[in-house]
Amino acid sequence: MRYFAVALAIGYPLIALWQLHTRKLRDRLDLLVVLAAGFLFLLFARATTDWHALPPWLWLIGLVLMAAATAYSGWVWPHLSWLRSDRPRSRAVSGGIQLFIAAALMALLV
Amino acid sequence: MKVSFSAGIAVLIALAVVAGGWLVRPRALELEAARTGDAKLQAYIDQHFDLPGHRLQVVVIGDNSMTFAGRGANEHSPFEIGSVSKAITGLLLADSVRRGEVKLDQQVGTLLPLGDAEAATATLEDLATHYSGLPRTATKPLAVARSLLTSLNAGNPYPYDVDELISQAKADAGGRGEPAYSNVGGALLGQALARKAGKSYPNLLRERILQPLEMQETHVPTTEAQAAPEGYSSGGRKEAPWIQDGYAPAGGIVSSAGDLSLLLQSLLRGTGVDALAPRRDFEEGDRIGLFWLTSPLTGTDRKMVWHNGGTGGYRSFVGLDLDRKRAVVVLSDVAADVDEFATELLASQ
Repeated sequence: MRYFAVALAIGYPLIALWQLHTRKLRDRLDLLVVLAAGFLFLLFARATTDWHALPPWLWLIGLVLMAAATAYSGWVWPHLSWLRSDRPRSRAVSGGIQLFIAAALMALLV
Repeated sequence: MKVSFSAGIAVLIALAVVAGGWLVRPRALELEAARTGDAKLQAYIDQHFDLPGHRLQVVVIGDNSMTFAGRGANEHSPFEIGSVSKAITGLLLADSVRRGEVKLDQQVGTLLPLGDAEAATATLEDLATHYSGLPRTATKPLAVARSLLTSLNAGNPYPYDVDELISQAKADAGGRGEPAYSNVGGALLGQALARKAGKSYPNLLRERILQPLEMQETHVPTTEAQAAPEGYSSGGRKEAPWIQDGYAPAGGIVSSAGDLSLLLQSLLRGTGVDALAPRRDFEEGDRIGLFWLTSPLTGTDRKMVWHNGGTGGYRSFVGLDLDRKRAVVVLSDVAADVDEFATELLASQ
């Protein structure tokens, strides 16, 4: 449990990069939610990890990976539509709520 | 063209992410360069203090001497002392017993309006020895949610007034008989003593401990302006001051190394020392008096009477070797435990 947040901060961007590389993301909304979650996990790790027990540079690994995922998303972005769903309205609402919650939590954690 | 434009924007955002992340990164804090006090004690800090630090104040106290050393702080600098406040509340309890105002076997329900709640039947000694069955922190859903929230936003988890504390204690029931460290119980005890004396806890503290010992730099802050400066998490994140009203007896006092030295020196001289005497078994083989813990002093065949404290951005430790008439105070504005450093310092005296 002690290392969970750091594992998440480093592991999640790796998953995000894999999703970007293998074109697993459905649409741009999906991409934004994935990136928002990555930044949220980074801030969560920063706030909750005992950085006396763990070296702080571990967090920078997560940061660099998230920056890489952000940059990579620029190449993936044009190949995605904004919304790809049979029920675009409910999907937009769902994605919007997820982004709002992520933004609120990030504001709390900064 | 479309690809290169979006890629360019994304790269710029990524660079901004790296720059912003670098600014807010967790970091290993280092002690401030400015040195105050005794050179020999400074050398000891150089050799033995290997924790993240920022402002630090260290004191070695004899029954007729005080030696201070600090980094970015001196003996007058304010620090949040966290649960060392409980140890002071223990001294207040012993004083109230001496005055005949309360008895150790008196139930707290006779002093505070706890109704028929299970907490009401806890004695003052139960509260002072963490045998009340009350939990470490309040378990009401809103209090738990607030505690979780403040752990995320580096805020104050104890903003409650006395009525809210009593309400939380009424809601918390637990099995009695085993020691379980309780901030709720510590706060309840201090407020019960204050209620019995007809004063607020800060006034009771001032009249019975601070003024007699001339501790002029110790107080219970009630506003941001009165609070100690922001401390730091172990990763260097700034933490809001813990301004406590209801919970002040358990962790709300701000003090200085100089003032705590006056307190410990008076204990070394025998004043109020009955609060320190072990009464019950505590966790990990320790014994406990009126909040004061007694443990083996590592590396010696002697005992140490002590209490530590922590808030969001501070750590503190006070310890006494009553055999050798020596005591130490260590105060840090970084939330990294100083217990081991302080214990070794006391053992080396």
